[in-house]
Parts: sequence; structure tokens; C-alpha cells
Amino acid sequence: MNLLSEIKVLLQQGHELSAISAAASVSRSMKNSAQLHELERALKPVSSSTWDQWCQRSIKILCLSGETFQHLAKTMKFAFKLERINAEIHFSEYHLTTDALHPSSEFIQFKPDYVLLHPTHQEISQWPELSLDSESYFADLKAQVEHWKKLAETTHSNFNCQVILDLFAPYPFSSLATGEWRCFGGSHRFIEDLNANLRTQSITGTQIHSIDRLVRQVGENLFWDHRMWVQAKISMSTVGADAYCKSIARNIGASLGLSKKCLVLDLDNTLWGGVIGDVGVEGIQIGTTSAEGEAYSRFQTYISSLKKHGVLLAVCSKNEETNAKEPFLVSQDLPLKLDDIDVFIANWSAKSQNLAQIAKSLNIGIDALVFFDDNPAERMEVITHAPQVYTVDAPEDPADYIAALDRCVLFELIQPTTEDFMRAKQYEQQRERSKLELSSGDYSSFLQSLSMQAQIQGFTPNDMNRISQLINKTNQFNVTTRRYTEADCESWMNNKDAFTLTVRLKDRFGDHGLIAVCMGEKKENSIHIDTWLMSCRVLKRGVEELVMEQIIQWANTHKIEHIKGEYLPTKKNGLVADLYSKLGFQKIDESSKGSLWQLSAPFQLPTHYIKASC
Amino acid sequence: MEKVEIKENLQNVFREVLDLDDLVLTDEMTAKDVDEWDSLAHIQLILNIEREFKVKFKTTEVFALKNVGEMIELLEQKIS
Repeated sequence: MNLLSEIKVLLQQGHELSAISAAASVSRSMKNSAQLHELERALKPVSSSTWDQWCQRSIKILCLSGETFQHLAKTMKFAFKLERINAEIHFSEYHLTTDALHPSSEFIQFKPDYVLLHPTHQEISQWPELSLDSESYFADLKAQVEHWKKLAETTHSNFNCQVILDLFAPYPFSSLATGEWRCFGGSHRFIEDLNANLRTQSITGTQIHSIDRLVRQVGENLFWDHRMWVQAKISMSTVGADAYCKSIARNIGASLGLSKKCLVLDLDNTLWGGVIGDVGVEGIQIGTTSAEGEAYSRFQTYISSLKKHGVLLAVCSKNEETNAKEPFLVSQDLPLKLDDIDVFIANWSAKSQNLAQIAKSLNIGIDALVFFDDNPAERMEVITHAPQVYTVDAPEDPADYIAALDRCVLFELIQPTTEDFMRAKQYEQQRERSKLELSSGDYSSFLQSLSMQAQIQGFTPNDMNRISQLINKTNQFNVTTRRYTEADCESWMNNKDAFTLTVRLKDRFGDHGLIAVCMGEKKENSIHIDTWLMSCRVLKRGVEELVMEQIIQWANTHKIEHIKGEYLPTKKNGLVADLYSKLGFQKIDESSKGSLWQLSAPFQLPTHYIKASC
Repeated sequence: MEKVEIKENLQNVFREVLDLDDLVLTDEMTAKDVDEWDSLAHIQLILNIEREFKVKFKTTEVFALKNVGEMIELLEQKIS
């Protein structure tokens, strides 16, 4: 199936969102090598209102580049659009250091959400000398690492926003070859060491982006364009530039909380060779007894590794359920276990409908799902009727499945948190809690039997990653859906007129980690709650009341008369429409944007069954 | 590819890059004749022409061109 030609068909049928979904699928595909400009051309008929439906974030980016980048403006903007981001991008070229350290007022007034620093080898002020002396080499290396760290941090403080530091392109030449690593001062090694150091440094307000993987995947010969360097100070070929634009868009997308949360898999010819309903457990290809079986085993092993950093797994198969589950129950050869699967659906309904059901069971948006199926007809059905799902353009050979999925970079984490690593275990623990709830008499005794404990704190530097992750990812229990970068969260932390709080929750089944964030500002004798969000996993356990209790205590200490909160409805946060009402607030204003609620002194402390420590 | 077709396709590239829907190319045309054809647009034109016609210009070739007519001739050579 050629997805690029399918885009045309979808547009003719009026399925604009599906056409965009197909294009997004092609853009990360290993097989259909359409470039961004071809996709842009194919999607020209799409209306701006459909694009508005597709895009979920709007941001401003200031790109400070050492080389010519302006010619990529259109391509980059389109790459962002495919990643669901409306990006306004300003460029400044050849003056990277000056622009970063002494930005013009025009740049400051632009108020970017991200500053992309893209240095080239020209910006390396001091190259080491070739020698056998390690001391002076490591001194030179240290000086460069410090220089770039300082530059990124100063940029962050000048613009008060998130900085993306593009690591250096691999040095394209190395006449010494292996010898370069047996002495000191070679340029190729210097750049590798510099990049390696910058990758792991802790740099305030900065995240790293690197093209080394891209260069390897595309191949050096195709990635660089040496003619364009001498003609126009452009280092990348159109193929390289395409890969770069996609990569930056994805990187920023991950930082905005747009990484996917759940991988949904077909079974027959996706997780094993053959159709289980036809050939039975003995007939499917899995395990090391055949090459085909080994391909599927490797794929299953790769998929189970995704669980380790918090990706959820689901099965969606057209099969009788007993047949579908049999290999998991009977065979010793499957690397994936039934326990690894968070939702298992095997029926004869349309997969697009099942995907909606899976999203609902896991309490995540349907746009957080990834769909992998060997059957092009099924993929087309999902693209057409569930365009919000990301459909992987699966290759024909199962030996290529891992690379195809991995290269899509759908589950990137800019800064993994403990919560990410704990997620798989937490879903298991959640199943235990649900069993208890079903067997408990009344709800209060259930809550008490959980023996919940909470740790409450204001924002701390160590929690910034998790806090901004929650702020950018949480859509349902979120009264105002305001998105803030880490830099913004730091401002909240340092604001003396603001209160900030985070809640960590534990119960006798396990640790939920940091699951609620709330902050607000004092204005005269009132508090305005700016943001209140919570992970849906802990809905109606008493955390709502716990947070309210904390706000009231802060209010009493600061002689507050009124606590105000807004509810700004979105497509996804209907859950909290009555949050304030249930907590005793009165609605004092209403507009097309939402409603304003108020609770006035004297405040009554709400009750809950959580033991809190601050 | 016929010269007429080359000129037509080239004209489309110019129209797309310069954002001028009714631009008509003439053989004598140079950057001086079109306001929007600045140094940045020039780079984009070269890159887009290479992509559209699936050719690669040598550094020396590009700088030797005097006008659109010479570009069309160069393309004719490279495509045949």
C-alpha cells in the first residue's frame, strides 16, 4: 500500500483529518520515502479548520543558528504542523554567541517559548593540538564544555524560557581513523567527547537535541552537502534537512507532553507468524526454532522493554478471545506475557471502535495511542475512522518491525522520572486496588482500608521535571489547562506572592508518586487558583479534599478572605466541570470561555482519609 | 524533457518559492528584475530546482549562469 497515493483518495472522499493522519504516518515511515515538501503539497487542499482540529499546541521558537537556516522556514513549520504543533519560528544566523548573550530587544519582545541554539564547528573557539599529552587535551575539552554550558544557561536566563541545545554535528573527516582514539587532539574525537560531555551535564533550563542518530540512519554521504557549504553556508542536504526538521519537531513535541502513551498491537503476523485461529498454538511461528519465529520473538522482546519506561500495552485482534489468549497461556516461547498487556481485546468489531474503547479503559486520550498491524486494510480502516490514533506504516518483513517502530520515536522522554519507571508496576497495583474496591462494602471503608499517606510540598528544583511533565500531559483532571515550561514553573516557585504545591500519594498497595500539582497567586485579599491538575488514577480517593485543605491552610495563614478558581472547559476536561461546586464554591461569573468560582471565609476544612505530612 | 516542459516546470518552482502566482519567466530574466528574488530566495530556488528536476549542479555551474534562459539550457543538458 502506497500511503502517499492514499492521501489523495482520502481527500477526495472528504476525510481531511485522515489524510493528515496518513501523512503523519508516512513522515516517520521507513518505506515510503516521501519528503516533507511532497507531503505538504499533497495536503494543500486541507482546510485551516481541519488543521486547527489537528494541532494541539501553539508555540514560538527563536532559532539562533551558526549556519544558514532561514531557507528551512517553510519545511520546519510544516514538520511542526504534522507533529500537531503550530509553530511561529524566527531565525537569526551567523551571530549565535552575540544573539544568545546580548539579545536584541526585538528578540526579547518576541517572547519565545523555546530558544534553539544550533552551533556549527565554526563556533568552536579553541581546537586542541594533536599530541600524546592528555592533560592539555582534557583542559581544552573542559573549557569548551564549560563555555557551552554557560552559553545555554545565560540564554535561558536572558529569555526566561526553555533552551534547546543542538549538539555539534559529527566531525565529517578523520584522516587518522582509529589512530585518533590512541592519541589526543584529533578533531573528530574532540567533537565526540564534547557532545558526550554536554549530553550528560546538568544544564539549567536546557534540553539537548542531537543529530548523530539521524546522520547514521540517513548515511553521511546523503546527509551532508559540501557544495552547499561553500556556496551558501548550508551544511545539510535536502534529505538531511528533512530529517533534521522532523527530529526537532518531535523533540519539542516530547517536551510539550505529546509523546504517545500506549502501543496497541495486532496478534496474527504481528506478534507471531501465522493465524492462530487457523493453525493453532503448534502452528504459529514464535521462538528460536525458525528464522521467522525469531523475528517475531525479537519484536516481542523489544515491545516488553517499552514497559520498563512507562509505555502501556494493549492488544486489538480479530479473533475469538480464547484463541487469541491461548499462545500466552500455553506456550513457553512468548517473550511477552499476558500480564504485560494492560488491555486485551479480541473480537470481530472494527478496530477503530476497539481503539476508542482501549483509550477509555486506560483513561487516556485516543490521540495517545499507537497502532501497529501487519494488515494494510486494517491500518487503512483505522486511519479513516480513528485518525487521531498514530498508525505505524508497518513494513512487510517482520524482521524489520523493530526498526520501523523504533525509528518512529513515538515514546521519547526528555527527562525520565521515577513515575515513568514505576508506571507498569502501578497499573498492576491498580488492578489489585480495583479488586479490593469491588469486594469492599461501602466506599468509606474502602478508602480507609487503603491506608493512604501523602507527602505535600511546594515546588522544589528536583521535582521540576515531573511537575512540568504533568502540566503538559494532563488533559482530563485539569481545570484551566495552562501549559508551562520548566522555566515558567521555576518562576512560580520563586514568586513570593504565590503558593505552589505537589502531592505524592502512597497506599498499602504501592506508591503512586507525584500525582497532583496546584498553584495560585495572592491578589489583595484573595487567592486565584491558576492551575489545579491531578492524575486520573487517584480520582475520588480524597486528594481533591487534601489539596483544598492545603489551600485553605495557606489562605488562613495569609489572611485571605476569598479563594477563587476558574473552570475553562475543553474537549477533554468535562470531568472537573463540577469540581468547585462539589467543594462548596459559588459560581460568581460566567462567560463564553468558562466560569469563575469563589469560596469565602470562614473556610471549613474538608474531610478525607489521607494521612498527610508536609 | 522538451524545452517547453522544462520552462513550465521551472516557472512553477519560481512561483512556489517566490510566492508569486502569476510570475511569467522570460529567458532574459535575472534576480535584478524581481524584488522577491533575494539571496535567500536564490538558495531556495537552486535547492528546489535540483529537487524538482532530480539533478545536482556543480558549484562552478551555478555561479556561471547569467539569466533564466541559461538555467533552462543547463537543465536541458543535465536531463538528457
